[in-house]
Amino acid sequence: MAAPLDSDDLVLAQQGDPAAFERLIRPYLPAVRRFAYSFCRDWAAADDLAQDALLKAFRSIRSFRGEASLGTWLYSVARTTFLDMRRGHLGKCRELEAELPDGSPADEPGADELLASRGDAERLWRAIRRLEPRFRIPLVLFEIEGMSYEHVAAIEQVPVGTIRSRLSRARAKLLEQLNAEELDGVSATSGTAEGNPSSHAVRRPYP
Amino acid sequence: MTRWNESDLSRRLAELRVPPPETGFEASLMAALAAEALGGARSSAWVRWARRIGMGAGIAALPLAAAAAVGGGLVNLPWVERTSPPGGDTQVMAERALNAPRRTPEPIGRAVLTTTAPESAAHPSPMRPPPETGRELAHVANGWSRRGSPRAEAAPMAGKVSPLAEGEQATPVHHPGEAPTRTGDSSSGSQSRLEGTVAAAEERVEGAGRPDPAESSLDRSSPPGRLRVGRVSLQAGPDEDPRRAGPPRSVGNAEPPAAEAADDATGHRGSADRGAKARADRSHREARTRQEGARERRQQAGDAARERRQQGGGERGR
Repeated sequence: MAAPLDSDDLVLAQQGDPAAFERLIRPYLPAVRRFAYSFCRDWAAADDLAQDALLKAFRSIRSFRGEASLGTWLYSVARTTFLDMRRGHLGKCRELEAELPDGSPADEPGADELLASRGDAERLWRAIRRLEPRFRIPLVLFEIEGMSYEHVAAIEQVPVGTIRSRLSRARAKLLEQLNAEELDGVSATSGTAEGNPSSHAVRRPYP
Repeated sequence: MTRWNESDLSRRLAELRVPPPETGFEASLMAALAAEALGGARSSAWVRWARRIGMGAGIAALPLAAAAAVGGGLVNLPWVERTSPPGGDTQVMAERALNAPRRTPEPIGRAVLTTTAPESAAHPSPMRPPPETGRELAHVANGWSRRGSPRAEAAPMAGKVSPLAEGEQATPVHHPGEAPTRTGDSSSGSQSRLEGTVAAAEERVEGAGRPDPAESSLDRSSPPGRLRVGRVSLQAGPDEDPRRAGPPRSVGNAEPPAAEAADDATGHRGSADRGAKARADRSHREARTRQEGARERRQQAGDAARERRQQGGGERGR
């Protein structure tokens, strides 16, 4: 996960060189975008959010002293940005469920398999978005991005034991939601996140 | 129907670790970073503006941000074409931004910030051929941030600017009152539109009889060594406070918010920032007063307790 840090690029980035900054953060871009996607209903909104976070990181790169890894620092900035966004009205809108696409992929070759795999992935993402951030963030960073407990703990600024505990509870909540959806045949409405705006979303039956 | 169980949940979660879809994210990010590096709040107003429109119009904001960057002269179309998927939204929006007709100022009823370009321009068209070599590309990229580098050579907005002197610092050309569009086009239509705008602006300035105070303040606000772009005049309609101008309604007719535009043009932060600072100062003062009060009360309580102890001891002693 951690890419070797180019100190020349770091110095240039701290002097305000966007190209150097872009070179520094390039290895982290897909992960930051996926991280943002766990807070947004679609990729366009996630990209906006990721861009906001990275601009914020660019503005504050001078404060990066190298005490933590660049990845940890970047994720910390992103996490703060995402949580700030979530508190705002726009963020609540962004977290609502996405509308279903207009076109039907049923005519595509292998559409059933494609639909099934896409459906599972989207179902997982939706369930993840319904988790409270304190469960969602460790789950995404640990299970999806493959970070270590220590790394996640450093980003969340809590002890490692807390992360283990939150991960365990996050998995349990996720399974509970997913299986409840399967049983009902519709999207679960028992939002586990207190005050999670997604509970106001338009629910549609899964295909 | 999928039955989810704990044993394969981790595997399924790990399968979500796939590359995100190609949306031109890197191109847009680079444009936004360049905007930030070039002009800070001034240029990133384009990005904020684009994002706001994108949200309002239900269009993905990233292509719009890229389009705004192109329209604002921060990057050029060939660069967008190289860094985003062919035929994607980013390219389409960027092209649309370039081909959008230049808006003529509407003096009545709304704030209009008109910027007129000087006739002499180093490169008449921003549609310069794309850099052919990696070295040239790097030069373009580096030109965004290295102060004092000969940016006129690489600047895609060259049609709007005078050539830079050696060591001179370039700043982005910002037309806050206009939709992002290309200026300085060598084609006759655009040229005539540009001339018309120049003439209209000159007419207004002459008609005013003396310099507009807003114009004067704008001019004074330009620091020495900064790139000056023609004449700038700020007009507010009689029935509308520019700072109350609502957000843009649609892509075609949208403008950056007037308050932001004015703030950006003067290089100052917005009134919201000033308000935030005032609130922070007030809060700090109040906190200090509370702390002093609490300290005083603690001291009084301590004195009283000491006194009681002394009295108690005296009584016990008696």
